[in-house]
Amino acid sequence: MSLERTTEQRLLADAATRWIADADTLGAEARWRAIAGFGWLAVLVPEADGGLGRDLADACALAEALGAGPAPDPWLPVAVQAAGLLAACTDAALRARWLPALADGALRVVPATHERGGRGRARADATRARRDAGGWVLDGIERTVPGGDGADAWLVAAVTGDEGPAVFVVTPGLPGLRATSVDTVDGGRACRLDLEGVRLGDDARLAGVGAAESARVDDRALVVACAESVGSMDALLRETVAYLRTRVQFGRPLAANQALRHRVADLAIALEEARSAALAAVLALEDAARGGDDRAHARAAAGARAKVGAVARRVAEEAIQLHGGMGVTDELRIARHLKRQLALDAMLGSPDWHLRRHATLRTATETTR
Amino acid sequence: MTPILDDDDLAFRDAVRAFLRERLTPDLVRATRLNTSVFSEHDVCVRWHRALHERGWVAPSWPVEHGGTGWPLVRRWIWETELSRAGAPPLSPMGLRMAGPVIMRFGTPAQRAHYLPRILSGEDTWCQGYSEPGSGSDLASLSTRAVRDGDHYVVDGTKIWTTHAHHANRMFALVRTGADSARRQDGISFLLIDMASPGITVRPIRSASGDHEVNQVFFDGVRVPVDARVGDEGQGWTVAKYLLEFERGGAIAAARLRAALERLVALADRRGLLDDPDLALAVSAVEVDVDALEATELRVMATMQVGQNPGGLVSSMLKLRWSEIQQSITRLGVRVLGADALAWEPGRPMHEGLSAAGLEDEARPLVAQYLNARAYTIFGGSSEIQREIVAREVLG
Repeated sequence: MSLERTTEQRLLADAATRWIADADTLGAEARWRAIAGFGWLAVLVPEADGGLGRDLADACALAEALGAGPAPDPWLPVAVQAAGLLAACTDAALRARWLPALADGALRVVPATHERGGRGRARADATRARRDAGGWVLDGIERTVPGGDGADAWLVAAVTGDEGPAVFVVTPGLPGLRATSVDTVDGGRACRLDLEGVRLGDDARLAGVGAAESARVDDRALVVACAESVGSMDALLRETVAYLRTRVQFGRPLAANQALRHRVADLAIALEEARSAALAAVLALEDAARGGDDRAHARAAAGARAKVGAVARRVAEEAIQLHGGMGVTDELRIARHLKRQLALDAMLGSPDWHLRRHATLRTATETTR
Repeated sequence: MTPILDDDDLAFRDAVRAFLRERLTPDLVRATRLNTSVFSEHDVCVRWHRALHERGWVAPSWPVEHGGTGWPLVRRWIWETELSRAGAPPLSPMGLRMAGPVIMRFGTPAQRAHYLPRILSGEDTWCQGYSEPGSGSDLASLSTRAVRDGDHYVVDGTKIWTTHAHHANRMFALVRTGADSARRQDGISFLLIDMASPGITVRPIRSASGDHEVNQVFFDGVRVPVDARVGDEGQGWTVAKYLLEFERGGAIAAARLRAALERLVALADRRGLLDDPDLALAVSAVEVDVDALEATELRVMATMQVGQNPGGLVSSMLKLRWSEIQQSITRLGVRVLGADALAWEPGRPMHEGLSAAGLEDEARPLVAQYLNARAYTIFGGSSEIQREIVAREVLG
C-alpha cells in the first residue's frame, strides 16, 4: 500500500505551487487563461472527451497546491463539478459540444447547483422545470453562482416534479434569462441568475444525470475542497510560525511564550489531522465507487468535510489572532484565507451541516441532501 | 480508511479470523469488555499472551530475527483491526513494546539472548520505573540513585505510578548514576531490575476508577548487577528517548477506538437513543476524529515501512489525539447511561462480580472507564508535554 504521491501528482502540485506564489499580480482573466493553459481544467475530463482523464487524488494534489494562494478562481466549480456533471451525461452530442471546450478553457461552463448544497433542502425559490410542448420551461432564482459571471453556459439544477431532480444546460441570451454580476466574499466573481419562463429543448437536459449522479459529483467536490483547505491551512501555519519567530514584544520573540506555543501546536496538529482526513476521504470515495455504495460515498465525503472544514475555519481564525492587528488587514494573505474558507462553506455546505448529514447517513437508507 | 486487500491479504485475514474463533474464548472477550483499567487484567492478559505466543503471533512489530512476525504494514493493519473487532484483550506493552525494542536496539548479545525469549513467551512481566513523586513531566529531575559497588549498583529511592508493579517480575528503570552535572540528563542510566530483589517494596495506589492498577515502588539498598544496565553508564536518557518515540509512534490505536465507539453505538441503539439527533451528532463528531486518526496512523506506518522516522510531531500528535478521542468516547458512554450512571460497582475485576443495579454487561464498566480515562492525557507524557514537543518541532 502506498500513501505517497505519484510522480504525476508531484509534477502537477509543483507547477501549481510555483504559479500560485506569484499569481497575485495577475487579473482574473489572465489567471483563468493560465489555469486553462496549464491543463488544470482538463484534469477530471475523460480522455475520450478531450481531457486528461486523471483521478480524484490527482485533482486533490492540484487543489492543495492552489489552496496556498488562496485562489478564488472558479477552478473547483468548473473543473470538478461542471466537468463531473457533463462526464456523467449519457448524451454524446452534449458531451461533444461542451466537454472538450471546457477542458481547454475555450468555453466556461459553470454549475448553478449549489443552493441545495448549502441548505439541505430545496428553497421555495429554487429553480423548477416543467414539461411543455416536448421541451421544458424553467423558473427560479440562483442567487450566487460561483464563477458564473461571463460564463458560456450554466448547468442549472432544477426540480422537475415527477422526474426528480435534473440538470439543464442554460446559455446566455435566452429569453426570460437575466444574469447579474455579483462579487464574492473571497474576491472572486459570481452571478445571480433569474429564470422566468426560460424555454429549453429536451436536448438541453443532461441525460442520465439524476439525483445519484449529481450527489456523487457533489461528494467529489467536497473532497477536493478538503484538499484545498489543507493547502490553505499549511500556508497559514507557515506564515504564522514565521511571524511569531520574528515579532518581538516584551523584549522577546512571540514564539517564546508558552501560551502561544501551545496554540501553534494545536494548529499544527489540526493541519495534520485535516491532511489525514482528506487523504482518507479520497481512498474511501474510490472504495465506495468501486463497490457502488452511494451511502458510504456520501458519508465519507460529508464526514471529511465536516472535520476539515471545521478545523480550516479554526486555523484561519487563530492565524489572524496570532498575527495581531496585522492579521485583520488586507495587506497580508491571512484574512484572505479565512474569506476563502467562508466561500467554500457557502458553496458546498457548512461543516455543521455535513456533520449532521454524516449522523443521519449512519442509519438512513437514502442519501440526504 | 481501508487499504486495498489482495488475495493473499484476504487469505491472511481468514486465517486470523479462524484463529480468533478457536482461541479467543467468550470469557476472554467478556473480561475485556468489562475491564475498567488501562491494562488488561493480569491473568486475562497472560492467558491471551500465551495463546498468541503458541501461534507465533505475539510480536507483530518485532523483526523475524528476534521472534517477531515481520509482517508488512497491511498485515499489521488487518491484525489490529480483526483483534479490535473481535474484542481481544490488549497485551501489556511493557515487555513487547517497551523493554523488548530497547533491548534489541541497545542491549548486549547476552541481554538479548536472556530477555527477549522470556518477553515473547510471557514468562517475564515488565513494569516501568520512570516517574517519581518529585519527577512527573520533568522526568530528568529524577533522584533515585544507583551507586556502584563492585560489579553491582546499589539502588535507593522510589518510583511512582508503576502500572502492574504488583504483577511484574522485572522493571526497566531510569536511575541517577552520575554526579549532579550541568546537564541533568547526562547522569542517568537505564537498569533492568529483578522485582524479587531484597529491598523492594510495592505499595498499591487505588485509582478514582476503583482499580488497583498503579503502585509506588520503594528501593532500599537494592543490589542490581552491572551487566543488567542497558547502554553505557550515563546514556540512559538516550535510551529512554528512543523508547518514548517507539511508544508514541507506530501504534495502532484507531482500530480499538472504532470498535469501542461501535459497541457504544450498538448499546445506544438497543436503548433507543440513536433517534436523539444531539447524541447522533456527538457520535459523528467522534467518528470523524477516529477516521482522521486512523489515516494518520497509516501514514506513520507507511513512513516507517520505508525506513524513515515519522518524527516527533506526528508521534506526539498521535498520543495527544488518541488519548483525547478515548476520553470523548468514555464521555459519550456516560451520556448513553443517563440515570444509570449513578450506580457504582466497587468490585474488581468486574467480570468476576455482578451488577447490583442489574445493568447489562455493555453498560456496567462505562462510568469507571470514564473516570479511568482521565489518566490517558496524563501518562506517557501529558498532553501539555506533547504540545511542547510539537511546538519545538514547529517553532524551534
